[in-house]
Amino acid sequence: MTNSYDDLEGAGCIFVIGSNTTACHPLIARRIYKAKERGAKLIVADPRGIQLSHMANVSVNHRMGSDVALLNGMMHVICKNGWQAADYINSRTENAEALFAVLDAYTPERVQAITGVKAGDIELMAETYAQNSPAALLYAMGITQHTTGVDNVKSCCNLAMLCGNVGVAGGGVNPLRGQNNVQGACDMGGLPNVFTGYQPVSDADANAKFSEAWGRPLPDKPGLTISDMVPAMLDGKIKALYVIGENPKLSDPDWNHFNHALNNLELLVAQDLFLSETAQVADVVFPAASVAEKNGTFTNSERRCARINKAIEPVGNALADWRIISRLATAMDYPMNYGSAGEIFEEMRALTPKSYAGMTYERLGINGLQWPCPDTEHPGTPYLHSEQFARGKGKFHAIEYQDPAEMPDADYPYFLTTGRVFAHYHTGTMTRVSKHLDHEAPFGYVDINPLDARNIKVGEGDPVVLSSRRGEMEVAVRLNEKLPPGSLFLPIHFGESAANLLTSSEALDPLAKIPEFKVSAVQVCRAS
Amino acid sequence: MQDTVKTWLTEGTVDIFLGYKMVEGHPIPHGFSRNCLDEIDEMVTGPARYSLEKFATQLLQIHPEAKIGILARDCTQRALNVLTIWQQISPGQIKTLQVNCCPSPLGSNTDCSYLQPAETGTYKAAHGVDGSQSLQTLEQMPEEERFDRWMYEFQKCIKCYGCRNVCPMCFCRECSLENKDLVGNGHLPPDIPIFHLVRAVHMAGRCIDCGLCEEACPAEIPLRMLYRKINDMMGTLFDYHTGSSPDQSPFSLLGDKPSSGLPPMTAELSKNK
Repeated sequence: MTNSYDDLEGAGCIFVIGSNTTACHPLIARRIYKAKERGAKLIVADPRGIQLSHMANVSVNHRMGSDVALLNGMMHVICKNGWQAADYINSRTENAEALFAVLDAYTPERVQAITGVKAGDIELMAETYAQNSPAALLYAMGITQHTTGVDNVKSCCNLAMLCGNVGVAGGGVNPLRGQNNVQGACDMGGLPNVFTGYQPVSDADANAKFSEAWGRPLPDKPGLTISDMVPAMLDGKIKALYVIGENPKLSDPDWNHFNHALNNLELLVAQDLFLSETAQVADVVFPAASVAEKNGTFTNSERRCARINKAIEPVGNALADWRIISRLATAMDYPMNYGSAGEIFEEMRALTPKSYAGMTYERLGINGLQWPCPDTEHPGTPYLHSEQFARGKGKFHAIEYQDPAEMPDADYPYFLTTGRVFAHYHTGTMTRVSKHLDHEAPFGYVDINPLDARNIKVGEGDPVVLSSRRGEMEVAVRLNEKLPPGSLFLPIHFGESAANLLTSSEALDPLAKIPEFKVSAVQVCRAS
Repeated sequence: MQDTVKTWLTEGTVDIFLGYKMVEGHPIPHGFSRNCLDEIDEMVTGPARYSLEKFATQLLQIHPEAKIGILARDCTQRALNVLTIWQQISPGQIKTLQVNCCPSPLGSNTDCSYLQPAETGTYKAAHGVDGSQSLQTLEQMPEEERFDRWMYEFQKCIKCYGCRNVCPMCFCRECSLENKDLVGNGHLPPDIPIFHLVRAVHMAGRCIDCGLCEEACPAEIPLRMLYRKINDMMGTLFDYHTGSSPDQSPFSLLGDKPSSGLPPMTAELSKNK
């Protein structure tokens, strides 16, 4: 997030796109409720009708994968009415002309034809967003999990900058992170191309600094993304896979394809709290300590790094992740002799000058600090880009709309999107074992509009067969009139009805390599 | 106060004392024991509240003979009265150390700042239920408008069960809210208004107006107001004042001849129209 949770309560308008916030980020939804009840405007754009839609001043259901068109349409209306922040664009940004040139063609009528959103609603969205500053934009996986994921994000940034909403309290572009510490994992260099604090491995100075600190020459070429690892496993270029805190057997796209790749490995190591689907087929399982059994820090969506404190000793043979990695490295002839998580934090902050250098365990206290925090006097940063953008001037990107990789056709006439249920978390390893959460959603299901259900002659609870170009599965029907006809929704949590049997591992964003989990073309039939 | 707790623990008056300990500026519920008497110096009072009596009930399920001391406000005393009536605790098993309390029609001596209602926003004032109003003010609105306002509040529910989980009176082994025949599962918002009304009905003769449910609610649904209405009806219909004594069981309040001498319920309901 460029901004902070607290900030949302001070927004004049909140625009939520591609986030089922009450189900997936309930404590952010709380802030939205508070802002709304104080008088802020709320815009909700989602292919499905969601709980937040009921509270919105403007609520639209745009066709799956049509986000760029919708956002360009809003910007077209804003520019046509002169609602853009002209001074801000002149002084703080660049490349606006290129954007304007593209926006010309995105008239509300054309955008209606692409997105299915009425021209009048597009105009109302534009007016509501532009005329109620500061406006905060919130998004989640509904924006990113597309072949145009990067384009979608850039379009969100375009809209925010066009109205001068980046670098101000109550505004911003705010991706809601899917896990408590996914921000922290990325900050720590848990990506194939960067060290901590996003210092590129290919940067000679950064590489030299880390090579010296760790006493070994480090590769200066980026490694593989997970989407690139799977073909490499199939080709035999990757022979061993070490999976920490992830359950790719369920969460990776194209289940059949991924399992072929897993079978090709010579060694699979899983490190997890529970015996997940992946751990069940691993050659070696390292039992990892849970949050209650370890010390360390988490960094959340608002870039806040906060401490966690061990409440009990690890149960059984479990160890904190860093202890397992240290032992493994030591066994592989690279001795790691850290005494505590705090010692590792000290090493990390010394190597991460711009964002984490000013944080110490003592300063983090109970509330933590938000990066960037470059020195020990720095109070942390509630919102980014306040005086100028990290790169100097904010750059507009001229983006044209593109269809998703797969559009419905005669063979596969339905749109399918995958997502989450309020009671469960990702592949369910932690939530399906809870009696109370299991009560809410014990089995997988597919949401289908009652009109479609009538056409294929099924009712609530009846089994249907879903098929795509990748595979097929059987699952029970749940009728949902808030889903547009022609669209299906499948939750991702259930191994026995794995949504990824149907998704594609080839439909990737070309830059981020994120799979298009949010759009597939499928057929649905009554099970015989 | 600290001295009293130390004395109780050292002399064996109680085995554990439930209060609050200051941890990095936050008052956290804590069980003080005679093994760590030094900790008692860090014990605090103040506006912080948690359902200490719920901890006590749960402790007694594991250790039925334990003697428990507890930092108590007026609502704690009401809770202990009701828990005694419902046979969750035995009289005399819990010893209270009284401190000042929060504003409630059922109590006096008030200093619980957490219960000062936040300023009600314009949208909530126009469409929702303003929890800072009195029940009487709310009931002056036409019934249809009240219904719409309550439905607005209920549709914000994210089914976190925080109201139930924090409630000192929710001690049932099986919860009706998790009975699929009463409340459907797997949806957001939950089935409304039935989710909230099932809970409200179960608060009859139980809710001691501590307000913890409303404080816990992330959607800011004015639950306290809802349950106050239930208490109000219990008072009007049955002359039953929840938590006022440990003696009056709801099972015996009708006496030997049920319904004799009591006003018919329809009179109460039509009065509100």
